Amino acid sequence: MKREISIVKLEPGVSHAIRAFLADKGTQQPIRIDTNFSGCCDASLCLRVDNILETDLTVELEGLTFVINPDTYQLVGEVTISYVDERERKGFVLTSSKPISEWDGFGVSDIKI
Amino acid sequence: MEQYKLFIDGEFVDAADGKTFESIDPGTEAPIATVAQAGKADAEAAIAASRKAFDSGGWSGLSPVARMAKIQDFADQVAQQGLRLAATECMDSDQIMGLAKFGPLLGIGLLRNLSLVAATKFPWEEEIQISGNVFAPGREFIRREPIGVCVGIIPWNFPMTMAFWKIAPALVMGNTIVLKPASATPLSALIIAEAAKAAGIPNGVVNVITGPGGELGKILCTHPDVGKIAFTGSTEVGREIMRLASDTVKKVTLELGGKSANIILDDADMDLAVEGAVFGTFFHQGQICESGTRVLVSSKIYDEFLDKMKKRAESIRIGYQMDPNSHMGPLVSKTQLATVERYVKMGNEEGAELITGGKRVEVKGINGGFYYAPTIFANVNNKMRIAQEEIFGPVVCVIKYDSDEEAVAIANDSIYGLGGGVFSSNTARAERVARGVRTGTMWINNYHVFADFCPFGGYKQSGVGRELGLAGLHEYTQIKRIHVSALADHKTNISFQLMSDYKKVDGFSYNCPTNVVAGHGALSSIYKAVADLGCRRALILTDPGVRQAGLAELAKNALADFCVGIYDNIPSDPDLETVDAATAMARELKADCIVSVGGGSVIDTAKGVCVTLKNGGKANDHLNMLVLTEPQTPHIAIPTTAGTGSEVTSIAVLTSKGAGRKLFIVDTRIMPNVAILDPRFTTSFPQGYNRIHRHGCPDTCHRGYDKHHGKQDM
Repeated sequence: MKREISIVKLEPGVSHAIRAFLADKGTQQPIRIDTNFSGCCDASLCLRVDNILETDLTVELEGLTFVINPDTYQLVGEVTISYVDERERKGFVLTSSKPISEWDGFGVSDIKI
Repeated sequence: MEQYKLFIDGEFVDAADGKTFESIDPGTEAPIATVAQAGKADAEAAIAASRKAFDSGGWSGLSPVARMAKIQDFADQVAQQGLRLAATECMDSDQIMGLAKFGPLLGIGLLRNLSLVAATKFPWEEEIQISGNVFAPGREFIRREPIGVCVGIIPWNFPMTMAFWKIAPALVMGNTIVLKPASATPLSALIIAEAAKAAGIPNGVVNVITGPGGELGKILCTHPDVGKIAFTGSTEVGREIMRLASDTVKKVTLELGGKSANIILDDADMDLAVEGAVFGTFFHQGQICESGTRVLVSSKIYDEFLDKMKKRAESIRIGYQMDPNSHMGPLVSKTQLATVERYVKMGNEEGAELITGGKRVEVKGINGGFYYAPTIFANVNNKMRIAQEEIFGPVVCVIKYDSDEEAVAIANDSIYGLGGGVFSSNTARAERVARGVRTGTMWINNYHVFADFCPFGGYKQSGVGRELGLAGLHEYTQIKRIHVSALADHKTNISFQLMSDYKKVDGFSYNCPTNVVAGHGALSSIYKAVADLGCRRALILTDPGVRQAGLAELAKNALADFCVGIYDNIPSDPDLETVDAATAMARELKADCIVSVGGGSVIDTAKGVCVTLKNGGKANDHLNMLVLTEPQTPHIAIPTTAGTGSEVTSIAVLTSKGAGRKLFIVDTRIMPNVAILDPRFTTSFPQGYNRIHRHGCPDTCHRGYDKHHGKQDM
């Protein structure tokens, strides 16, 4: 099911970074916006390369396909992705309209594959 | 509704921008308090207050005993707040009352225990008896000093306990602290701050700021006035904290996530193991980082165990956390409930078998709350995400294995290494398994056991450093080494001469414990010398030439019954194998004293034998400088060369084939106990001694021999 709703917003530089990552991995699969629990208390948002499931919400943006599970979307709302490339800090920063934890946007993450 | 404020510089204050947030009761979803929401300005004010308090010396400059007295007052004030603390913790977090009521008691105990250790047993100052530097004698010691401003960032699962875990060690070691509790559970930390104020802990020593980690964390972890960060929380946030802290090279201790294995061996007491597995994973709704969320069960007992565990899980009473009959309360938040549901769905999709739970629970009489049933997945493959990622809820994966080795391998197949358990009726077997698991804590026939003096922390991505115990206290200090030179003159300082044209050393410190007996007839003293050294079995070491010249026999006769043998195979350039061969003979003969008869090569070999005989192993194990702390095997040296010096030096020169060169043992402990300088050994050689036999002797020996025989050359 493909539905055109605002599930993701990309900050400048993000689509370029994602495309570079996908090219490096030799894949054109969609990017899933997902929740991730890395232990001890606080869940976070993450990106992973994945297939589209029938129930997913999907959006095409800047030539990239993003998918999100409807339950996850209901939990976190619209997700904003930015990209930082600073000294000692490089990767994607994900924030959401309904923050998943008090550490929303604190960490940076790679794309899981 | 109660209102809570930030605690900065000894005062309870509103946030600079006036913001507040609500804290809710997760059992009813009803707000129970408004709390000041700190921002950047508040974080900076707290750090400044903390820095000022530290630098003033009003806390850091107190003696550990004086600090203990203040900490005891602090503990008393916590005791006075005990009931309020327990009830608030129960409502604000999701701890059942049966658990929350112990929080204040544990906190009081921790404050008192750690301050007592700091005042009476902690090695604040330590002498370094053996420095390891042979060129710069002097007193060496270390002082352990507080770090400065410590930041404690704690999670929502045990807010009160975690607050004590951060505040207590920081304070008893003389630091000041800025504590940031989790936004979901901010109240108990602020009550603890009230206790600190009432106890007269100086202003600025304890500061508590509440607010979003994403905003405050960046300030707390990058501020140049902060010296240490102690964080408990997720691996992802911990990783970012470490990265942020690296910019100003702060000390960091991290206690992060886990996916611990609770291993049930086939000989385990079944009822004990089932209880251990249920408690190990469902206690506090599974919201504990070291929970045994992977229960590994031997295939021999798997079906029976699973059946019993299912029944036991289904008997757990879920209810409002303040109801004393509740075994399990709610999850902490709607988000956490959603996270758990996502993972349960994922487990089903991955093909694990859901045998119980997997659903929300409604508690009678309560409208709302984030309650979830104890959930067991069977037939889980350890590669599944539900077995690899921490769920932080009442969800357990039961995994079958066939051998102890496989169990250990599965346990170690995780990015985490925080806790774990083994259940077995065979302690030796359980301990073998426990040793094999790469994790920070292993419990045998128990789970979730903490103690003030037992360190806690993680392997791998479960963390850095330790909390609790002496190891935890050390994390709140830094080490200063102080060297006080024993030779305070620029021309006696051998290091300074590396940049000087003055290449002599004008003075030195030389410790010569060797008893020198010199003169005609000195050899006779050897009999008494052996007895004085408390020895009875002397082995003579010598070289073939000296042996053939009859000098070893002279020594043997003088030793009478004390001599147990002669080892005469020492070459002119002795190596480590020479020492090992001579040591082997000494061990075989049970020698308790070494008598070296020969030149420097023999005496040096004997020094190596004495060290190896005393300390075990092989000669190669002892090529060190100034590490020996007690007398070595007694050594009597009878030099056959005038002026070799080895009989009164602390050096043994031995060839190492591995290194391809000569190496050294340097230590005052290897100086011979007795040196016998008898002219019969040094200036005269018996008839029959010829050039061939002299191969190990230095020039002085040759000269003595030649002079005695009136020859210029041979």
